[in-house]
Amino acid sequence: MPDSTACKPTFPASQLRLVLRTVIVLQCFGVAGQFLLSPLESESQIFEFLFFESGITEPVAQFIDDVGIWGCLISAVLILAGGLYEFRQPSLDRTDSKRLNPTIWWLEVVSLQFIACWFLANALAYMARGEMYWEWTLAEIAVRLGTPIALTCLLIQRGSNHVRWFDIVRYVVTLTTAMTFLAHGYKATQLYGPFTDLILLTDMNCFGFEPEQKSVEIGLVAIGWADIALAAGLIITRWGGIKTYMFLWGAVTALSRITAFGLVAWPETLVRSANWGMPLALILLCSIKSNAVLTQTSPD
Amino acid sequence: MTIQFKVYRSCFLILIAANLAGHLSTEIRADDPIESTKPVHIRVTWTNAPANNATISWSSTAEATSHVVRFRAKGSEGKETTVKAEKGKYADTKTDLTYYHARLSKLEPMTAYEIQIQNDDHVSPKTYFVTAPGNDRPFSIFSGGDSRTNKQERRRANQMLSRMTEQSYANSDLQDDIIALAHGGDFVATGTNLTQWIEWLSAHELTTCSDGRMLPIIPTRGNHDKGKIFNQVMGFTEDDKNYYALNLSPKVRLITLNTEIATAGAQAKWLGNELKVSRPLNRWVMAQYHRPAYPAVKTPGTALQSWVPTFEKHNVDLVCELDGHAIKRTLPIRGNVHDKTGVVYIGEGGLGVAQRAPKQNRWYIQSPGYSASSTHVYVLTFKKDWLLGKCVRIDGTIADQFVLLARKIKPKKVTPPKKTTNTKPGSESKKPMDAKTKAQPKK
Repeated sequence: MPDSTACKPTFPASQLRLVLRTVIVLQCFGVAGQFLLSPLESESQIFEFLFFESGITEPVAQFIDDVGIWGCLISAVLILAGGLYEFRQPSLDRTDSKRLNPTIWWLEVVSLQFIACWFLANALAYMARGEMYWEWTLAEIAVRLGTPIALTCLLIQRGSNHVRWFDIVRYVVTLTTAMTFLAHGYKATQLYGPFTDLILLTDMNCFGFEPEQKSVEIGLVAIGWADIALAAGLIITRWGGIKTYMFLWGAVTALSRITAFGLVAWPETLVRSANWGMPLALILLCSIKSNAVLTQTSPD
Repeated sequence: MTIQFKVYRSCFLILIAANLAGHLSTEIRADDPIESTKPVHIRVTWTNAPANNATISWSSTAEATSHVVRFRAKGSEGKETTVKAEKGKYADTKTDLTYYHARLSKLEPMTAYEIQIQNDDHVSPKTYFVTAPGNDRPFSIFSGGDSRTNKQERRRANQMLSRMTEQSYANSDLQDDIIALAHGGDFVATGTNLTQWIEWLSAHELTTCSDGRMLPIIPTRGNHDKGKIFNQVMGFTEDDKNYYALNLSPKVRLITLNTEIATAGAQAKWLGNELKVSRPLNRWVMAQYHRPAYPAVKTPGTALQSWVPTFEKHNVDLVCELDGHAIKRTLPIRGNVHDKTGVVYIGEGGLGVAQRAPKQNRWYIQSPGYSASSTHVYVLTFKKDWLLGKCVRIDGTIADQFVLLARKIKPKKVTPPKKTTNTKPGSESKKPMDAKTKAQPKK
């Protein structure tokens, strides 16, 4: 008699890992672009906090900042390598029935925790510096934190064949996606200047409609309320249309950095990959759940 | 009994005398205790035609029922004019502090005005400020900002400003006379924290010269100056968007922009209209704002897309940027390349905040551009044929010096639009300045 919660290995589970891995790798390359690779590279909030607020000397603060960014980049490479390793396995081993090679598994898990910690530290540094809307920071970047956490859960789940891990992943992904949409929605309703600029500059570069700022602001408020409604809808309903809309809108908002500021803003777009990646993960999670339910109702 | 009475009477008289001495003191002191309705944090701001207008602001802990500023031309025996100040509570739940703004108008250009504030029965020391020139004479201003952290360095920087202002009037040369401080923002670290503003306001009193001359401030909102308190400190109305333009003299125009709201859209349109009108009328046109388009340290702000093409189209002479916490002077830039006819950008804030090492590899700060790291302020001297910029370090040494030649702008007869696009209540009128100006006598 099989375990009632046993989950038959499913293809979407590996797809889900692929999506999350891709998102994390893109995010980390975005971070490296912002703070290391771009000709106009800058420093992270951690540097700003250490140097301006804590009185640590610039070389030391720069060193800590560089360690964090190189750490993210190396972690991304390790996660990418883990993904390629999984992809090269025979198709049966790519399913959830076997654990990964322990060394690769540990490297991936440690890398994911490093990335999550770095994003969290950046958010806390931003909050400590009291910048605009600092109180919404954690909610705003929740998807960036949620991605490594969700993938860690999936890596733990692999081999355990236990459906509750999918539930944990679902909670993480749902909650963080809702939080990010809620925070962005709130800022939009408050007519956050940079959001208005994204619309106006995108129009200037791509369309040339030259709308009045008042009209744009009315649109922005509507977008904001839509985001808030979607965040609430994601928690209280299971309607798939919400996730699809979030996926598309997340991609649009990430791309808007390039449409507004040009290709030079590619790191800004990459670092926001979780904006579309997490809703996509949610869509896949739904199909996994369906499969799991089917498996439970028709045991071997 | 008689002796006891005499002792009591003497003590009473001493107390009265001490109190009167306190009230009639002629010196403004930074860090004066803030108590009852005693006016403190006295300052002058220029946000509108400074040849004829000024806002005198102050604070007190208790809300005064009578709150006026009395003023008259310095040294005159004429009757004082009294202006009632508007008042309000600073937006802070922890500290109870009242602000007052007295809006002085119809002033004479280039005239020293002696002012005294009366809050109920508390009278401030007499102090004075000088309105902006109404004639085309040479003069200088300070340009700087980022005074948000490192309080001791901020105070040292303010003492330096006071010292330099005094020195600039200690000779008969008009061109070095420093008339105002164009502050590019980030006054405090957390704009919603009134305690930090109180510290800044106390430190700002150090810019007052020993003879009571006050240094008018032309404020810009920085990314740390979020919240309502900025407008309350600087004398703006509550919903002011903090972008405006004013003439420092009939031929020198300073445009202040706000990078903390949408930079494209209404603000960019206003800038375009403003430059269309003001460029042909002025020999020197400069702009100041907080987040740089050509940063020495960080990544470019939205000003690069929203405003730089307009600066180039209308041949703005000089742009003052802040936020990076370093010294920089770019090459003249047009179309994102080095071009001798382009716009020069200076910055990036050093009135107290810790200084960073600039990114030396950025093309626009390569020689003959300049970059360095030190607490600093720029002194900009406007003359008929050239503009001299000096970057002065906290120790008084000069880090960088540059000269811009006046552009050959064809003067146009411009008809101001019927309905101005400047939505700001305090926007300057395009009315020509009063020709009857009197020069401030030199010491």
